[in-house]
Amino acid sequence: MNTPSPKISTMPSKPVKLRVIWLQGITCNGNTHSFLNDPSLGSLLECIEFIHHPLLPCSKTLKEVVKKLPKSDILIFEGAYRADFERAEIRMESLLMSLALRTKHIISLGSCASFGGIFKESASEHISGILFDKESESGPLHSLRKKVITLSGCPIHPKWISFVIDMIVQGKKISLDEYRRPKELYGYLVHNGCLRNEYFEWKVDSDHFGTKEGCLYYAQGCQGPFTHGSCNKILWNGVSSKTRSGTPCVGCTEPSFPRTELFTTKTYMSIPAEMPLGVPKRSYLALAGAAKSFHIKRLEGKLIDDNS
Amino acid sequence: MITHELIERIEGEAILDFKTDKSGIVEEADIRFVHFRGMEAILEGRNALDALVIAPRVCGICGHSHLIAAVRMIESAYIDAGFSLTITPKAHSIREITLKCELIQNHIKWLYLVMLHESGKLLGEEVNVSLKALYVTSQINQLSALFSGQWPHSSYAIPGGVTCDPTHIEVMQALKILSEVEQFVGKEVLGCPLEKFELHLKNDSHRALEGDFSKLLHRFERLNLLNSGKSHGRFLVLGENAGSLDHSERSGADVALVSEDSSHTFTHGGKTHAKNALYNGAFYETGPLARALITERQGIASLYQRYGDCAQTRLSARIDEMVTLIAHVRLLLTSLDLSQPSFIPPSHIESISGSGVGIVEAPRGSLIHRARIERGKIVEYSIITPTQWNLGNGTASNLGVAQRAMIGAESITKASLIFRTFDVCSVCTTH
Amino acid sequence: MARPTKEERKISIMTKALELFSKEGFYQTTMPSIAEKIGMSVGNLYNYFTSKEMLAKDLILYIANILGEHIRAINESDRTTQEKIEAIVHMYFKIAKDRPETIEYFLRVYLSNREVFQNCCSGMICVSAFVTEMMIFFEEGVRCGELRDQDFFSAFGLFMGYLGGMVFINGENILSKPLEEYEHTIAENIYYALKTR
Repeated sequence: MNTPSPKISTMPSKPVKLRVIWLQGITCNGNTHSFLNDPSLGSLLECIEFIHHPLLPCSKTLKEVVKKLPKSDILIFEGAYRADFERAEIRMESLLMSLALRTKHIISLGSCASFGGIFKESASEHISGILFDKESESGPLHSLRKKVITLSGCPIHPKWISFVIDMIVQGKKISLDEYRRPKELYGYLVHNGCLRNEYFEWKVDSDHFGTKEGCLYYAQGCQGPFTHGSCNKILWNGVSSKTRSGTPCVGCTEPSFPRTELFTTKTYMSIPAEMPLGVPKRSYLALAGAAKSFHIKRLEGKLIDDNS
Repeated sequence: MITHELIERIEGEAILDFKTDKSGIVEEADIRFVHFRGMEAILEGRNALDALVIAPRVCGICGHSHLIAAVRMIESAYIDAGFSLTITPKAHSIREITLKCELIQNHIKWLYLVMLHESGKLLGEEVNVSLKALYVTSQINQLSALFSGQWPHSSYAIPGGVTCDPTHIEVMQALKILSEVEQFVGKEVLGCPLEKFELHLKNDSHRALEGDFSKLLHRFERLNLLNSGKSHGRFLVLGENAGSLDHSERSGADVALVSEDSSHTFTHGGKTHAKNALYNGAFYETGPLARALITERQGIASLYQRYGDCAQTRLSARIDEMVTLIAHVRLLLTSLDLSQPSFIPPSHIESISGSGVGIVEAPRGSLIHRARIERGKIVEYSIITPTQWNLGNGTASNLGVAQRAMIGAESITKASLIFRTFDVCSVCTTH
Repeated sequence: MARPTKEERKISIMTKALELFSKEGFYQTTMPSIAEKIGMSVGNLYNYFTSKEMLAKDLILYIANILGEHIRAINESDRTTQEKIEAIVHMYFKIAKDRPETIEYFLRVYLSNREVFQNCCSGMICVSAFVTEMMIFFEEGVRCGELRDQDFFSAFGLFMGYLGGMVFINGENILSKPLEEYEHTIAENIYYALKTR
């Protein structure tokens, strides 16, 4: 991976900031707003400067960017890719490629940029991520794959992006998985750290939504046990996560996002169609059958029985 | 002279086509949105509950409003199908809290990232990242996430209630955050205690306050824009406290009178993807100013009487709304009865065949989700967003709301700034 | 000749005990009667099994494992779901014929004396090796589209209840033909009852 060359500055206390361009494809701006949620944005902005950002003050407008095609250290791309989608009246196929060639690192930000995401659904054959199209590595930046770091998620967590930027700033090697996602963020499953883990262990399912008790994997469609992401390690907005607020994980970091029937667990004869990642069905069923038969009293009752 | 102006630093991008006279005064202004994402088609064919995940992704800044609109739409389809549904006061309040948090963060971002930034740039002032504003919006979003799990893109509101089951810990945390927000708004935004702001508006003394909001007003004053930007004087609220106002004439508001006009869009040989939203066949303004006037909030009502629907009134309405919302969130938090259920399971979605409509007063105005559901599947989905009302593109004889507000502006840059007083969201407009 | 290991001794005790239990029932069979049948002292028998209940539990585990292994082999074989049903029915009836005491024990001891197994063997723990394989059989049948999706237990009950019932009727000597001659029809009935419509 390329690392920024050390630059000599006249003021050693103020190192040269990395130059970042934030470009948007077909997007809802969700990653932009999630990024703004980082309470330590100020310290991040001491290491980088935005040549362009859709909302933050920056040195160049989009119109200037498409005209001058400035060099950058990091190109952040948010949104799905479509060759004929235009920004400031320039087709994305030429704009993205030009900026990608003039940058050192490319961050594919969010699931639309990474795999096509939700917006791929509207015209599947024309829309993809910048490096991947769903699972297949056939996006337009294929030839520049080594520059790309994938940060999938709908949206991304602001700490994920600041982590990657920090690593680039410090010139450290980021270890990546098959989709070029940082393992330190995506090595975990959303299931890891979920407050409902004990209910999963003992196979106590949640009767219905709106309770603190029970696991959402058996009936409510939770994809946490097979979705990569540190949502329950690096909490959302610093305080919570989908599963902590009783919402099933919708698998938003995976190329398969968005699946269908998101609030129901797909089962075949009562058996979850998708096993916890890497767990053979036979082992899971044997263990589940045993765990289920114990009927742990404590887990069958309310956590707090007089909450008023 | 014809000029195409690309409007950035909004949600997405918009193009304004101006026709100006020799001295640069705007004679005509066309509003165009050139991106289209086909959200409605993505929703069709799916399980109705999937809308709770897909719909928020219409917009990164007001996705929560789309979630609430979608859940209300599904709940109304339950009723239409003859099924009953109970939402406890607790679940209702929690939804209101998170929804109002979204409006508050939106208004702060609009003030600092858009209005102060753009007005400063126009006056040649140096503009920096407003970290204090971003910090406080991150706190408001944290308050929301205590209940909704995350912001943006939560899916925690479901037919029958909410998925979360908060404890006093979350409520206390939320109240602490709210106190910080109150302090910020009082000290930084208004320059006076929150409860005093309305009186300042009534007494027309708000420009003399020392806060970032009055700083914005002073810039508008220097740009000679304070009292420009007048439009039709027709206002509409379709969500809570529905009503319409045509100058001084008040009446109710009926969603059945809403129509969409697509005669000027790309599909019909036009130049935009945005359809116009009309009420009773006419353009109406929706959003904070409409809400303030229809609920007769005193400060804005007197400002409107004094200055009309000009930039100053429109800007003040958004700030005044923020103040009102903060007080409302406090009331909701302190009166939450946690002993009530968060969720009462309704009949299975697959038993539902019917039509639903969900209306929400979103940051920029009335948001409508409509759908037809067959055995739990979405057959048809239609969204009308607030900006389709305010940023509609009409003809010379029947101008859209923002269009009319821009005509007569001294320059295209000033017209563009007036355009931004409507809080532009391109991604919503062309979902 | 090498001395049998403790494990081998246990199995030979279990084989004898199985015969007794399945013939005499759980309560009629006592630890002394088992010891007598094997030709060991009652005290020594207790070295292998601390109680009659523990012995009974180990027996059901033993049987569930035998059935589970057979079904696993069928599950992992290259057969259609319909062929697997045929193979399971065949396997079950063959065991019922060759080693009738195993199925008899299952029907007459395990299913008829639930109170005995409640403490040491709640739910389906002791038969999990067998039930797990049946789950996999059903799950794969639905996944590949051959079987209709439904609640596991309604399908399981239909399949196993049917087979158990036939073995029971056969044991009462009221069938006009040998049990194996019913195999094909029974497998077909099960398939038609469970297949996708």
